[in-house]
Amino acid sequence: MSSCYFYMAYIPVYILILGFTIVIDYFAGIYLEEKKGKSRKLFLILSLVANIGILCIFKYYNFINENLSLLLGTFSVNNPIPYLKILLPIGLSFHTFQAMSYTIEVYRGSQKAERNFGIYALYVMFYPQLVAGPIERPQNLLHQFYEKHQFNYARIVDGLKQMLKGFVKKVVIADRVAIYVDTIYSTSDIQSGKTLACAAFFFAFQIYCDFSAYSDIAIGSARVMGFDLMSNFNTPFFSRSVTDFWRRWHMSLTTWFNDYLFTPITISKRDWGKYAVVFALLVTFFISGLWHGAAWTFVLFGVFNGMAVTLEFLTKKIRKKLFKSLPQPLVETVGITLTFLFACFTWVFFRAKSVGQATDILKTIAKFKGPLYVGYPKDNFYYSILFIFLVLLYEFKEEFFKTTVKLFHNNNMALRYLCYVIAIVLILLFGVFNGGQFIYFQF
Amino acid sequence: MKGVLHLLKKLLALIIIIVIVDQLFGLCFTPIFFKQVRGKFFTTSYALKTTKDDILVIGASHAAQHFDAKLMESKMGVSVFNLGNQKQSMLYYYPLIKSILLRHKPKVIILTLEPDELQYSTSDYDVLSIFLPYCGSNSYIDSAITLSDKTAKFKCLSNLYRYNSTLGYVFLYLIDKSYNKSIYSLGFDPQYGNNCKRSNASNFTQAHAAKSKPGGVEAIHFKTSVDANKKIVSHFDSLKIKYLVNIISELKQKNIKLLVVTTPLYEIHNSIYADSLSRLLTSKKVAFINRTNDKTYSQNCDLFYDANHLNIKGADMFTNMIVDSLKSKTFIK
Repeated sequence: MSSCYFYMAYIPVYILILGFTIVIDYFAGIYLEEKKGKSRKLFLILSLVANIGILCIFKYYNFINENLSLLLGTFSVNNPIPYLKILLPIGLSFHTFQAMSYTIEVYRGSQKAERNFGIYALYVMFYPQLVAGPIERPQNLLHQFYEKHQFNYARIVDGLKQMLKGFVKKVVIADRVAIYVDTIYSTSDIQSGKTLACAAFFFAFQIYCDFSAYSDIAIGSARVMGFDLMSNFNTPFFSRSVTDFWRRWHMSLTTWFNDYLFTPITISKRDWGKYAVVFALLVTFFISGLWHGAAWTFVLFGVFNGMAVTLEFLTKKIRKKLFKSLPQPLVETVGITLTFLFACFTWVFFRAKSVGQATDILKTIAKFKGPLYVGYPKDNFYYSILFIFLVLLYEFKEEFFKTTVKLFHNNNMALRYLCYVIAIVLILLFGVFNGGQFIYFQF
Repeated sequence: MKGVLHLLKKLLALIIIIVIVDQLFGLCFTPIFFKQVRGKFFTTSYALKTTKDDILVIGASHAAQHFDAKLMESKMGVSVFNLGNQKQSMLYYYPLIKSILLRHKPKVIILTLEPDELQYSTSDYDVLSIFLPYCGSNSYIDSAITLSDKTAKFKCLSNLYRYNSTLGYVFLYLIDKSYNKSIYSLGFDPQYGNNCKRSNASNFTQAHAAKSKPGGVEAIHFKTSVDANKKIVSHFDSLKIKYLVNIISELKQKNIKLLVVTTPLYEIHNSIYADSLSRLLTSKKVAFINRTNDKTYSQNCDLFYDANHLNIKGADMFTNMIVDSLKSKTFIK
């Protein structure tokens, strides 16, 4: 009931859409388990078509129609198909993928069909992760709804700590940095190369802190209630390559694509040799880009990442040979730096309103001329720099000294409390409380 | 049960520590905050606690950057202070003027309004958080704070929240020895240089459109015009209109002269809001100097810092014009 209430707080009538797919997938699951032969595949297709169909209507209909209009326009033909005036249901891409993973797993025989309708509905609608993930798997989540959850001090404290970490990331860092980024991106045509480069750099931290904050709050709140959700981030700014980056960034989506798209494509095209992997990578990243949003900017975001991962796959052996003689720390540092710069580059497309704006921004950045705009008053810019430095410091600790340097989990009570107090003081003193919603809510 | 009690005890301990830290911070930071002599908090503090000046210039950046208070003082022989604060609107001027009137009666108030002052914009409500450090000063300030956040009155009990996002600002303005927007410039914030040509791409209308964020429609009280082709709906903010009318009548009652001014823009600007503002002021018989599209200034890049603001040269010219107007209208004898 609380999950229903949570979902209906946005546009109440949209619960019917969710209800529709839940009913379809629930019965599809049961039939997939009971039936044998070709009809199983039919039920799987029915379930997938229902889920993807709804996603297409709400998320991609206008995008497809707009491109059709452009295409017909080149032949001076008017597009007679009308546009839809609908708002995207919140978290549609997330819960659709979660629902699809259930029917696919039941079809594969690795998950039993859920007979309890309420439990299945809760699996799709579990409110901590309903709107922005992590995208859960039935094997991890469904059985937890049957377990008895008693008061567990350690779990609750652990969950609260993770939530606190998330709140700091969102209101202190992401929303603070967003003030500068939003200003620059909304006036990108008059900004200098240095300023735009700075905004692109800042956006990397904004999107990471914003999205990982939501994951922290979701995982933390679920933990308080006695549920374990999968991790979604693992110090992505210390990725040694783009491939490594996607193993650390939005892990629940990456593993979803790996299990349900990349691996099946690779297997089905195994006769092609290594080109099967190349093909699978490009298709997966293309769809991953499109998953993020119905715009060419997101498609390009996916395509660029796909190309980079493909290039890394094709040059793996050569690189290994080439870097063998070089000191490992140097190779890793260069890898981390290049990966970060590449991520910043692709996020320009992610953040820009159009491909035109993104390319203009990149052209201006390439010139790297003009003064750096710090804004007025200047304090916001300096706050951003300071907090970005703190994020990097914290991530560095998590990457290299996770077990040796502990903050929220320190054995010394005084140090532990000091960390809590600092986090709460940071929120109260530096938090931005009108920063708006989480970036990934739009997906 | 034992575990629940244990958790509650720990949470209570954490709350007590936070309250102590909060009180200590308030004790140390409050004197520093009110010692400022430049910046947006200085002008607000000055307006609320100190001013005894004859002429007060109130407005947003168009007030702060266009009225040279020192020049006005020397030409008119009365005390003048520029209380203009960037990004603010009628929602800020109303509690500010009301608070000033509680303890001081100036001779003249020059209210600088944007041409689109009456337009609804969520950001105008957001920036009212500037009053947070003054929470509890009087009912007008408290009401303004509530406009930005309904629960802010309770949150103000925390010193840390009350001074949210001010620490860096205060620190920067303590080490900055700039003349601008200080006690030494009498609040005037002169701008130097000519960026008007570079910035005129993002003209006034676009800049103000960007100010309006989606949402917050509950405060929109009436829709006025719908352009059927462009599907643009104009939103007047009835609260701003109410505040402006209230200020006009109160100043009339108290026999304080009011001059409303709109300052020059680089490019010609016309809007339904500007027309409505003009009509409202005329109907209330308020002295109104409308220089938005004054050809003496517009398209003269030499006088502009950017597309919306005059530079020091333009500001001096504009101040002289205002002084002449004040004298000719016998505002100041």
